[in-house]
Amino acid sequence: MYRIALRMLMGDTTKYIALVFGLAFSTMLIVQQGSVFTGLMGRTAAKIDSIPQADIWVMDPATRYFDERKPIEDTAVLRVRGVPGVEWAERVFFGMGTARLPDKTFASVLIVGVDRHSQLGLADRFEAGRPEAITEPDAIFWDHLNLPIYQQVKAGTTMEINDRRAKVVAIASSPRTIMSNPTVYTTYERALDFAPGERKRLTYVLAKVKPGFDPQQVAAEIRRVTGLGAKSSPEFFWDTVKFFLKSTGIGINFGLTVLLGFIVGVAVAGQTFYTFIVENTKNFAALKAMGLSNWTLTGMVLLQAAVVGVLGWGLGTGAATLFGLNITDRSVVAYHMTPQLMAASFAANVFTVLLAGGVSVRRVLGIEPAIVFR
Amino acid sequence: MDSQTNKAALQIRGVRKSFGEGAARMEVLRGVDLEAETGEILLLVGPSGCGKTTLLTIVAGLLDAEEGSVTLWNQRIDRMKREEKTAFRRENIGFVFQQFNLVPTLTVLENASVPLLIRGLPRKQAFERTAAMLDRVGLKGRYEDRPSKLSGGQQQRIAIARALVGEPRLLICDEPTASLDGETGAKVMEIIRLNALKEDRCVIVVTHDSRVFKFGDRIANVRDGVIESVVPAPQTSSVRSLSLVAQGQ
Repeated sequence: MYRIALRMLMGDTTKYIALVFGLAFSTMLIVQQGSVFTGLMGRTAAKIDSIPQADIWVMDPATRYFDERKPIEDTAVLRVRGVPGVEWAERVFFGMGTARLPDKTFASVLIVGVDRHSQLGLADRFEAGRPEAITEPDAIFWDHLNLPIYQQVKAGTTMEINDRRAKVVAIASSPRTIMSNPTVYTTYERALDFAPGERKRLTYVLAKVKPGFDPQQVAAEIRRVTGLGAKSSPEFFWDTVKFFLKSTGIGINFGLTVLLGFIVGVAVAGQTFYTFIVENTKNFAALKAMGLSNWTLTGMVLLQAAVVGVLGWGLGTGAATLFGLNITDRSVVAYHMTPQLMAASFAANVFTVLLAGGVSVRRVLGIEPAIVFR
Repeated sequence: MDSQTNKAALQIRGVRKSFGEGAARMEVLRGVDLEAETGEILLLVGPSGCGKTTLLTIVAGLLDAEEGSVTLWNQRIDRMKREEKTAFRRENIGFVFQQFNLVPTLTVLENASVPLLIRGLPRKQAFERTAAMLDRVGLKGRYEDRPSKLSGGQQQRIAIARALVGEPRLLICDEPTASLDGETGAKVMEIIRLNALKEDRCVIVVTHDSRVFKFGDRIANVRDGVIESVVPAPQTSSVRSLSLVAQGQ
């Protein structure tokens, strides 16, 4: 009888397509908007993600997220190196500056200063120039983050950053960050020259833990020993994401779209499926009259709902995947599909199907077979 | 038990049924007594609203009587639980409905095989048996058609094949010719007479179509919720010969 149930469902092509399409559309909205949201949130902490060699970020104890930078003393790096479990520690500078562009306009730039020997934190995606020339006088890398207005800067361009001469020796193209400021990479010392003077200059110490040590435990030890703030990279990443989530309202705004997708899915699929059941009331009544048990009938309805749900989910996630694959400029559209998103959309589908199936089963079980004689 | 009792397929005693409450309460059946024997077609006739379909529904175990008893082959169907009635219908009763009640999205073969599939027969076996039954009712070669492609008479034949494929002991037909023209209706009744009637089986037909009276063995006249009379049907010689063919004589 289960095959008959499927034939009943698929035989009504228009309704069947409407059902599957409704769920597919809902799934696509959830996954697509969720992926954009995940992509955008990932951008808030993109700089943390871009230095995978570091297990721990050490900072001022009051620092809440990546862009909230309060410099610490230069000696911090030495103190961190002395903490048990730390394999190595390097300093890195992050600060803002103003660059005069070739077309005479200005741009706020993120200045990243890295240790000239380890070069930890330096861009690694180059599209032009000589990355090895970073140690030359006034040398910088210009990272336009794929923003067209900043692509006027070429390798060999000379510019001023905070009124100091800088020479672009290489062009980088890193993934875009949430702030979308072009990034200037240079050596730590030169970065200090570019940035306005402060008593303390060091922004972060990046540390690697020794094999067998837990980064979170070592970070706790750094906090205890040095009195500084220290977080494992994932902790710092998520603290940054959470800060943006809470302070910008991005979560609520995207959540509303995802919720809308979910409601559309429930409404379209639920109503269409229920209509399908109502229109087949007499057929179900006839089956009951012929001796079909309520259990089998329940199984038939739930199978119909499940098939529609799985197909809708598959097509929806497929469409969302195709959308992601066909984004021509990935640096513009933040898009990051995750297994969690797939699982969430599947759960939403299961809920929709259970709701529509449950209401329909209630209806079917309440059908009096005697109506076949009316 | 005497031989008379052994032939009894259906015994209805003092069945009462009403609908509505208070001032709107309407007593549809007011103490019905009726018997049907194996090997006969019993016609329930009467004007609209006289209670014949309600009686049929109670006999099928689809509706409960307020009073009285319904016995089918010595089993009190009125005392059965809902699940037991469902199982009883599955094994013993076939239905032919006025509106056919065919599933439009299923093929002729699938529609007619439903009773066997409900019983859990393997699909292949169910289809083989159903195809043979469809051949018997004149639908050879139409197995894969949708019902909507067929005429009213052909659709009713599918319904008859569906009702008979499980070889039920009791065939219940509700106005089987009401949606058909005279000639097609006669053909349908011929098919029922030829295929449904066996010595151990019984057919009950609700109708107000006088053209089909000749296909019955007895006619029970229902008036205002009681059986007014039970008389022999005015069978023609051709119908009698159908009975002989059906019973292999």
